Amino acid sequence: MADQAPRVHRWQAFLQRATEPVFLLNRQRRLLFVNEAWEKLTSIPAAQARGLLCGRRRGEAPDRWAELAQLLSPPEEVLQGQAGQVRRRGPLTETGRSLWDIEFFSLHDDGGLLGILGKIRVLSANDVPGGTRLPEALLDLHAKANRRYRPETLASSLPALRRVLDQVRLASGTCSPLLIVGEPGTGKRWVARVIHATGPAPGTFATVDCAGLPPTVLARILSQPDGLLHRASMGTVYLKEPAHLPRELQAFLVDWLDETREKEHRPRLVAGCSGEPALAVKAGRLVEELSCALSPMTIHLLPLRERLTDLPDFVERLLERLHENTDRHIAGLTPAAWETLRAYSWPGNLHELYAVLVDAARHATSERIDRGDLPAPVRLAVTLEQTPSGPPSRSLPLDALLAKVEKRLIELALSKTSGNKSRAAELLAIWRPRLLRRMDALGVATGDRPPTTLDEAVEIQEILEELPPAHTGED
Amino acid sequence: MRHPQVLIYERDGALARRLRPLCQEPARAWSMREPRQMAECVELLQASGPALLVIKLGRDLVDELGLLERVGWLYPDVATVVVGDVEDTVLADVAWDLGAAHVLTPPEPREQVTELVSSLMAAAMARIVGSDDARGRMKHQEPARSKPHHA
Repeated sequence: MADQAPRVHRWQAFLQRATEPVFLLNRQRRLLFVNEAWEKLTSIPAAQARGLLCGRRRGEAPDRWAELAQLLSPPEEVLQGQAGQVRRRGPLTETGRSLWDIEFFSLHDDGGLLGILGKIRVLSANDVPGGTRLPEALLDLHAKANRRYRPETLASSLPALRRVLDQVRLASGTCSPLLIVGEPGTGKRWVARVIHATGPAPGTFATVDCAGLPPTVLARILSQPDGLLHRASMGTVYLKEPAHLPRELQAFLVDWLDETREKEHRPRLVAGCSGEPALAVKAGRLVEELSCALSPMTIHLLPLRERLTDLPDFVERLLERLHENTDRHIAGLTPAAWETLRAYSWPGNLHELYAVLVDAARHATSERIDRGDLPAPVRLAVTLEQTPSGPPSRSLPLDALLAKVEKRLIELALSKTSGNKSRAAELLAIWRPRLLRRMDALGVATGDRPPTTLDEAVEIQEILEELPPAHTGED
Repeated sequence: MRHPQVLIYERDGALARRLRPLCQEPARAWSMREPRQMAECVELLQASGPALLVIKLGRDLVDELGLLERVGWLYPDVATVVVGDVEDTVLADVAWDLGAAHVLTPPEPREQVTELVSSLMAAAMARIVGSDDARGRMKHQEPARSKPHHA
């Protein structure tokens, strides 16, 4: 009987047409199929590669097949049913080792995992400068970190934020300076990173904290010949609060932007401002020319209190982040907790939301965060906010209340440190001179023991309980 | 407010020795810790108030830069300074990209780490406590500058 040519299924013919190297693993992770682009990349005929078990092996002497098997082995999350991506070093060829970005897509049937489709992208030296000498694990870590900054993370149902997404797409297509304005914690740096990740300028993203770094360091990294602005590998330099830069540095940046305007490659300057730049200019903190030079495009981010419809998405994403650091799984929030989150004004925006969720998860006793798990200041602020105006049945002497609380805390700290004021100050995270002044003002004598009854704590609780019930209906 | 702290992640203790006097200044209330493992470092940050992390490169790049990435993701308010002994722009770029507040390598003088950490501590307090109190401390703690000479 004459040999018959192996049957080629339509899907194989389809994948053969792809210019990207593609491979298919079965549920046992054995190579089922590779296309011509894959054969060309690896110089291995499909017939030889078929059946290879692709997995990480320990203890085996590395040979060509073991190396290939490790290279094509899907990461754990893909075996669990998710998509995944890795960055690995390709096999040794005449020209050396190139870097491969491999995307894995898991396929399922009713029985579970059916197979895994893999697609390879070979990176050039420009894509990953220095990639040939950094450890593969570091390259993979770096690539994974950068993949977080996807435009989908900015999606919102609010028209104002859909506009932001349009602006981000527009900004991604250019290298012009950019200004992002929003209250602290609204995600200005995140937006800058998304623009960088999806933009045409490859390279490094560096954040310069203009308020946090000392002037000598700022001068070095911005204006010196070996600074960030002169580095060929630099893609984006993000200036956090440029109004805090010394004026001479602001003037330098104006000149630099002007002198390098026609240069083929220069790092992109993106600035994040928590207040309106016009106000900073008026107050003399921001040089007007710099404000103008940075704002050919300005993106305004809404505070969290104006985008509460997005709160469920944010909570879900932040809980996922939180789960990376704890074995506890928080499934969500109770209705009472949601009500509180929606009623809170979020002066710290997304940063504060994350801190609140972290704190609440620590205190939660069940898999759902309840209202009682939320930090007391959030609950109290909401309670006060929801209190209808009107003469209270009992006055709320705030200063007296704060003085009682402060006195109690000082007495507890002194008791804990056996009267040692230096250690008590350290415990309270304040200066010793300040502790002494407050002890004097509040009449706390050295060696005072806290009262044996809880009179003061009870009095505080009584005042809080006498607040009128929260207003629940619509006006 | 929970206690503010500086975490130093290094092998030989040299940075800790250099920075300890800064943390022990009476005007500050920052403690210093020297975790030896990534997990220990992340756990310390969980219980911390304002915090600052200083990572010395050289022992295990994947571990050290992995810590930088992890802290930047889980604790975005924690500023991390990366210090290296060798001028290596490729490695410095990776550190910047992973979210370092500053990458200090030659030819920048190592002594600059003290000024850096001092400034970042003040900025962290300013974010938590409020600008007036912390900026007053910053002014108090800045090194004395020579007065400009007028012709």
